[in-house]
Amino acid sequence: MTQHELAYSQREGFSIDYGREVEEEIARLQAVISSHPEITDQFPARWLAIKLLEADSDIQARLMISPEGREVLAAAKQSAEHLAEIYGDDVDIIIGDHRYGWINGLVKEAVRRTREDQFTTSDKIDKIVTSRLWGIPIFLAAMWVVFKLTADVSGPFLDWIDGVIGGPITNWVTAILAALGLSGSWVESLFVDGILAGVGGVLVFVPVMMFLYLALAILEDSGYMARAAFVMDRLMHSLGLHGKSFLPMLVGFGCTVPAFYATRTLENEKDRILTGLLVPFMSCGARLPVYILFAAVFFPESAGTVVLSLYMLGIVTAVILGIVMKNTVFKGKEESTFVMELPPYRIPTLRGIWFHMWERTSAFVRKAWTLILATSVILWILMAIPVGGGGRFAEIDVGDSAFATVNRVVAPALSPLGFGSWEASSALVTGFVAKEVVVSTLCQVYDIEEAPEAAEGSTFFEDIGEIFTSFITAAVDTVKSLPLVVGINVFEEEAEEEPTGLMKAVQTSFEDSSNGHGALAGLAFMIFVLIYTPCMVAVAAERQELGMKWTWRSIIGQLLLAWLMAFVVFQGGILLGLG
Amino acid sequence: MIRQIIDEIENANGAVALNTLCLKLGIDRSACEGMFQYLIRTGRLVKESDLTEPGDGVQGCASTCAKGANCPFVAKMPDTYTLKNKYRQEITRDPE
Repeated sequence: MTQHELAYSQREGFSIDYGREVEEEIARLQAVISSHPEITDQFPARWLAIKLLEADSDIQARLMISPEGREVLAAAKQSAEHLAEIYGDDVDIIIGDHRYGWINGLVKEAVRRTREDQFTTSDKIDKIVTSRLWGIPIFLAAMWVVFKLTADVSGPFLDWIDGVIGGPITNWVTAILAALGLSGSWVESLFVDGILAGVGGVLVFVPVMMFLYLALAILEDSGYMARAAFVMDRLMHSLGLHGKSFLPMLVGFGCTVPAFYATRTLENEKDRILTGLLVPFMSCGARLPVYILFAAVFFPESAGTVVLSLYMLGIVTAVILGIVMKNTVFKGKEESTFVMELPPYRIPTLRGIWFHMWERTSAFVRKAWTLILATSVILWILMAIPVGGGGRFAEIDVGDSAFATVNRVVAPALSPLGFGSWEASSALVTGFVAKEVVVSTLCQVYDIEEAPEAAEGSTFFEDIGEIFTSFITAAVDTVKSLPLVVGINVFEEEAEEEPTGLMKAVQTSFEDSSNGHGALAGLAFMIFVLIYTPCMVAVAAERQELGMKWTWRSIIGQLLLAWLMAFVVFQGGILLGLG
Repeated sequence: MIRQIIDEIENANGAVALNTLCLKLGIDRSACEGMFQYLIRTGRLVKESDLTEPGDGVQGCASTCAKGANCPFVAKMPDTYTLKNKYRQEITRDPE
């Protein structure tokens, strides 16, 4: 009988054969363990021997406390080194190989699987969706549908909310203030020109956000978002970046703040900092209202495509910068291979989609009623303070206010970009508070004379009836808008939508500040909003994750890059005769 | 089997999907999951599902969003497993 057969025969009951050398070492260790009854009282000798060869840290800690245990540990170390020399590999791998080889063999013997069992529907879909050839085009197509849905289909509800805020709600507030004897006072100005213009200007975009979050919820709940992360991971890796970088970036499409925290998935500090610096280039949801507004003003026929292009520009900018920094500041090759567990595809449930969509949209609405409300009031105060001795508080033209005076200092720096007006510069300055504030500031700084949305003298119940019927019309129009996603327009017979007061004001202002190149200036403005410094909460998160030094570099770098890219687009466009 | 999995991950060019890996090596999915659990237990693989969440210690978005893992913008990302080479014991052989 060989030593191996002897060792194997000493086992009690069923156990796996780990091979001659391993079994010999197990038997040797078993002998050492068995000489200490206080240890065998706690653990079966063979089980303990295997655990010690696998270098189980929990077991090692338990044995370390007694002299007998330390003796066993010393013997185990010797056995592990001996086996490592023989096999040229770590013992836990050798043991695992034998154990799972046996298990896999058993499963194959005992379980009969058809080809259909082995290749699930998810596997079959993944063969195309995650393939190197089709993965990226399918991802782009999915994103195109998302932004087409967001930009085009949400339009009727956007107009509905705009009508409700600009009509009945404004009329009710004005009527209540008139009843209180405050008509024409600064209080009315605060409510109408400050709060309603600022908060209302952002709330108008709630349908846009709902459609975006609806589309993203469908992608997430169906399991596609995980595939998108996988496909983009592979692309990032092939470009020399850490594959896992795209996970935080994907989070950044919702909000930049959690995206910074998600960089913790990267264990290497260089990769973590690099990814943290790239995360702000992913366009967060708060920037979407700016794109929707400017795309509707300057590119009404291709708004969805323009919005998608901006999101893609963010990704491309991040990738290019990443490659540059990886080869300069963050030089060094780090291994970045990992396994991703892709969930099976599922048909999303209505409840799940609603939950995701509502949670995110309500966060957007809460922000409007807190941060944006506070900002709107502060802006109104700044716009009510006269400068230069002319006029009284809240009775001046906004162009003569302290706010306008301060922003006129910044405006010349933006003139080469086509939007050197104090109104545009003020929107960018306040955008540091939150990106939604860009639109709310524009609503406040442009002196918009809206056409009355509801008939003068209409009763409260007539207004309610109007809100209800216009909601039904918006719902019907939304359904009719769905074919727009695939390029079919069923609205052709109907009259063109009249631009809102804000849209007209933006168009006029940008045409003026760019000497007639409004579309180019609008595009440059959108690019500037995409690239420049994220909001203050995101900056705080960045400082927490990357430290003060990198945060300052990032803020300055993004401002410079935003200026440069907007400059190239505007001036290059003029040189090429575009716009 | 375990060595094959480790080699396959090490030699992969970027991310590998767990299902694809199991199918490629001809390992039953259930056995493959067991092997992954073993590799996690022995410290060779680190599962990183929880790390995409910001954690409860961090500030919410301007106090309007829920903090930490309850942040509505934290998308559910796929679980990832990263290979940890630092646990590998250095093996030196006699030059023969």
